[in-house]
Amino acid sequence: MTGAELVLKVLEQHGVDRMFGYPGGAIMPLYDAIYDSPINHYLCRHEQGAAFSAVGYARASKKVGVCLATSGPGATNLITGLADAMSDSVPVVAITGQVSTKAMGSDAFQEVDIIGLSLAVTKHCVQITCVEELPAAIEEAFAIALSGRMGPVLIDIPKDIQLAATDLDYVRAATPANAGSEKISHAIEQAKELLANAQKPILYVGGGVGMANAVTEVRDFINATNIPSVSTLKGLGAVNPDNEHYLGMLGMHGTKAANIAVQQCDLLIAVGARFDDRVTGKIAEFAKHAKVIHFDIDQAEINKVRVADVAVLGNLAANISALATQVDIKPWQQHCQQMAKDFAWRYDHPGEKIFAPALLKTMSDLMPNSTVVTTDVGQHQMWSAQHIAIHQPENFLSSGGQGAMGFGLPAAIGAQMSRPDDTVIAVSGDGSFMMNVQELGTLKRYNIPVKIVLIDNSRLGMVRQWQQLFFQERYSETDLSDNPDFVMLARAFDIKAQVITSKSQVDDALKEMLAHDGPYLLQVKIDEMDNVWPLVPPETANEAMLESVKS
Amino acid sequence: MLKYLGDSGMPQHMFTITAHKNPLVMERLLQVVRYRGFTLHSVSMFPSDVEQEVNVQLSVETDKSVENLKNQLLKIIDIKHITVEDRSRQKIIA
Ligand SMILES: Cc1ncc(C[n+]2csc(CCOP(=O)(O)OP(=O)(O)O)c2C)c(N)n1
Ligand SMILES: [Mg+2]
Repeated sequence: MTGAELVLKVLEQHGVDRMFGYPGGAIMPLYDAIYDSPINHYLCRHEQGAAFSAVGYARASKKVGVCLATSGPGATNLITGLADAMSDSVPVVAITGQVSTKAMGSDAFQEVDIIGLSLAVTKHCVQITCVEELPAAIEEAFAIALSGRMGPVLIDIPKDIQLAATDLDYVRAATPANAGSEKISHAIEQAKELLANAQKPILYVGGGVGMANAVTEVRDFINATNIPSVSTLKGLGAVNPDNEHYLGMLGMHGTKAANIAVQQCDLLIAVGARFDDRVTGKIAEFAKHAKVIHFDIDQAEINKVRVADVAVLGNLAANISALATQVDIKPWQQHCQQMAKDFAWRYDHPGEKIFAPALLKTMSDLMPNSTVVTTDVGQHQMWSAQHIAIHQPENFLSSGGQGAMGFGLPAAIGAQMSRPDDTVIAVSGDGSFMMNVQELGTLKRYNIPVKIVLIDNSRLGMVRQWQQLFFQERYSETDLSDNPDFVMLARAFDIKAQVITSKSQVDDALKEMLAHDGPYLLQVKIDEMDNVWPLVPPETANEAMLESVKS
Repeated sequence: MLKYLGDSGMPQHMFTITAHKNPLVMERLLQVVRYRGFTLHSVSMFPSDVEQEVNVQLSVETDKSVENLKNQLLKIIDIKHITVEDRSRQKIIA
């Protein structure tokens, strides 16, 4: 067996059945072994696409996503995807080829210090120095990627080691079952007391809930206490969107009810959330009157941004279940419900032009609850978060921590590969779409039935909105009115496509798209001046949100 | 060998770190100290009596929470153990 064959054998035994990548010189031995391997490899059209597809695969399926690239430019092209996985705690294993051991350090052709480059954007990275290290290194990579707060791991394998012959065989050791439930700690008792004494508690739900497989427990806690709840972008889907005490997303583009409730609360219970600046606004003003209970798996998140009165580390599912206690908060519940009613989204909108929030709401009503929605970054992303009902966290994939444009399409490809029976929709923007537009080639090659809803404002809309609000309408480099003909572009890849421009077309177009068997692109033309509301200006308290119906 | 100047008026903290012997660990350690906004005052690495282990002594001057830095450093997979000592109260001029 060669080192390359050994790598694939170990991957296979870790349950890897699909991976995403792009070949090149230093990883040719591995690609040669892939030729005979039962693992399905998907050729993406850019290594960034491969990394984002691995992220989409991992997030939609809760398995490890695997991506491959050659040395030098192949490896550097993975970096943005790894940074995204690092910020959003996604278990990804990236394997890069490296120049041969003898050539290393000599500025050889396509040599780059990928370990040096990836230190800051991976949970761990390792360069293999001999073939015997391979099984343990890969095993460790999977264990690290999946343990505690999850994240990406990079393994760099010199070409000579991929080629080296070895009689090492590999049989994965059985992992001992995790025995014993954690004791209810002192911290939970303190937390319970805070909750019992609170008049105005709020549950602040983050992406950690889905990742910790604690959705059921968090929902049980909500049902047992009827506590009002709010969600981060990455937490969407953790709370049942139909729960009568759920107030929606908080933060810069959160709902008015969610933001005001958090500012007024006297106890903020953060579960798997990290007080990101897009959530808190001006941190000194955030939930100023509240005590804080912080549940997290990562010790380093405790007191990083906001000091917690009580911190509960560890297994979220067990800990949140133990928190359930009798609360008497009727007036507060009623107040929150009233706000939710008073500030509910409005979809009436003058004129014939398509109103993106209304279109996304219609799409949400038409699509099955099991649909996976991915987004790119910008106004369309915020509208998606606001107006699509998400029923499980693994059904909404958006680049949260990094906000990386170009995420939507490749992430949708990865999600569809992991969940072939579910509908997968990528909501993209005309700017973001062009950042990984080459992945249309991947859709075509494998006939992947991803639906693309391209919200086309002929602008880098979110940046344009900020220019309008904060830079005196100086629209520097945000005009995309010379976009390509997207329908023709899709057709060049054999992908069915349609463009719509008026409200009356929305229903039929969405139904046609959802009923179509293969990949589909629906281009939706909207007014270039439409804005996302509400908006909390940066470094401002969350209650000071700007609102307007039309710019 | 170590100078505890502390002239900035900010408390000085000494981190004593036990790490897995991996050439990458120093690089990552220094990166985290810088990225998290701490200024390095001194650093030394020593071989350990334990096989596959190294010891690192590192000091920073800061009025920020060193507990936060310690927790960030502990996330480096190869770091096994950290103790932090406040040196400002026992200032020694070498
Ligand atoms: C890789 C990357 N580059 C730049 C940005 C900054 N940025 C954030 S939103 C945005 C505009 C996105 O335009 P589009 O995809 O058309 O979405 P829209 O806001 O118009 O809906 C830009 C440039 C980013 N988030 N990611
Ligand atoms: Mg746009």
